[in-house]
Amino acid sequence: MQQSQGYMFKQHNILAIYLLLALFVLFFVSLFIGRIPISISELTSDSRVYSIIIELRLPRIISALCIGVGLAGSGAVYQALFRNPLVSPDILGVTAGCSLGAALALILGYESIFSVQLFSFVFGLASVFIALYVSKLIAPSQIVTLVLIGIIITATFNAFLLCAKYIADPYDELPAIIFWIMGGLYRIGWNEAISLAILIAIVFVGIYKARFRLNILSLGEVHAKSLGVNYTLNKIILITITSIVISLIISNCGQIGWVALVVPHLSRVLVGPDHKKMIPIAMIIGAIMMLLFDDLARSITSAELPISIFTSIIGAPIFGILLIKNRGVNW
Amino acid sequence: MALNVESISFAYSNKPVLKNISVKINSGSLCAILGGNGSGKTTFIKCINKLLSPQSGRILLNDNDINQLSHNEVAKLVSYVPQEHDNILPYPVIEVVVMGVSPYLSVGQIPNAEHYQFARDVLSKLNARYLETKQFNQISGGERQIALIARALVQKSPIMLLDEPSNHLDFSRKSLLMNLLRNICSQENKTIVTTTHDPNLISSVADHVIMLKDGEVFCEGFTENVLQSNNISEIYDVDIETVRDDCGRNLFFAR
Repeated sequence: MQQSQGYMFKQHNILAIYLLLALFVLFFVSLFIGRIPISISELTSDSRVYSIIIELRLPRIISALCIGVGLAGSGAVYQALFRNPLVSPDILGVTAGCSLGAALALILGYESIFSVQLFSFVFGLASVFIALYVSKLIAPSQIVTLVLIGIIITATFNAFLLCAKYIADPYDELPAIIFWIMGGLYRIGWNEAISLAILIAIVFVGIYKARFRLNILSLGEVHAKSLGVNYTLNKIILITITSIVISLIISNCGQIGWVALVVPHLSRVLVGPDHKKMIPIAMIIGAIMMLLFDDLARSITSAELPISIFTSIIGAPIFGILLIKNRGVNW
Repeated sequence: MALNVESISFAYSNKPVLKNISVKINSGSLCAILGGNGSGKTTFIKCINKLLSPQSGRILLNDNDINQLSHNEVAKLVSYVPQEHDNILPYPVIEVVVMGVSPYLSVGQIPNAEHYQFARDVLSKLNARYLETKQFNQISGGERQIALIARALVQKSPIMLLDEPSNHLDFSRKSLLMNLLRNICSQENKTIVTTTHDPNLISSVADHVIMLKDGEVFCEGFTENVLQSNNISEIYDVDIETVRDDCGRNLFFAR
């Protein structure tokens, strides 16, 4: 038995090392992928090439890594807290809130990237806090109540979004809203990359440290409280910090579907449901996937494609394969 | 550790479930709470564990009022084996058992090799080491119960609460479980409080019996004094026939 434990331990760590190596290689390769192909020899000889890599591609690649880590980590946290494999961070209306905020900013004429991001971030967070507040008024410890309120908020915000699209100027504002919602990392510069990196590094440490506690929280309120864990407080803290991350991601990049849902599943298949092992693996896989999707989005055609096209086209079949292969055993 | 319940009352949105209950459970005793469906057994256990807060009265663990203690402090004194354990993710049993160390860990800490070894030792003590690597949701109801008792033992609390632990067990395992609880109580000097529907199950192992009816203490005291056919008949509203077995133990049957 001891040997088996040791074997499992080694297996999990070896997988993490392989994935980190793959991430490192992909990071390096991504620097040279894009509409303007670049070779290593050009890097030192051509100052224009140097500027493309440092000013355009590097912040974008760093952001893709951070977004992958944030989405995968948040997805794993939500699925553990809600004890439901179909949950992703937009269950409490954060995506609908962010989209509505961005659409309002564009309609109201605040067209600078900062204004759109600010509106989006504020509306995304507002949706989550409304859900938490209303559920606290109705039934503080009932997770189902929170989910149902999230569904109501999502439906309401989506209805407002439809109104916003309806009244938007069809030649100018409407395409901007739709393109924003479809998502992409084309707006990312060093400022956005640094703010994403700082926030996600903090959240990464927080979620990583909470990985054993997530095991306990995933058992539900009765088990958690009897094991000395303040269930409600922990739940609110984790939902709040993951919602801040998701709002920041969506406000920078628009909607990026499937990653937060699929990556935790894939990680559970690889290392089992124990969050001590699953959370770090999910974060690395999330980073790899986002980097890969962004590489495809910016290099597959001459014009950049919205990243959510790739996350959906690739994410949905992966999810289906996992469900068939897994048959619910790991959840 | 002694448990002193002083005049607690609890209601779910104006529907009273516990009415002015006062009992004292001695340190190191095995106490069985007996009563029909809806008599308030589970609510009583949840109040002792601070999962529910009574609207009036107080609960003392030795001399500590449970209301003055945090969930973490309560978890160091009281462990709980709940009735519902169907929704646990497919963690290996050892991961479920080692969660018992949670009250002793700070937020960022994870169990270390010593904690895992202790969890393995507890499983061995319960003759359940074979469960260690099995997935929790793929073992039988009885084995899950053993795993959760192991988790409660890893919690190292002087008081252990069990809510109808024999619910999912077959005939032989019910009796094995009760003997296991008796051994834990004697060897580890723990105060054990368990709810049950079945008077025959606890007749030979419990030191103390509390009978609940409609949220009130119908009677309580030493097992031999309380476990009488007339009392059982009253709390279950059924005629009882008593048969004495070869060991001189009373067995109760509904007529």
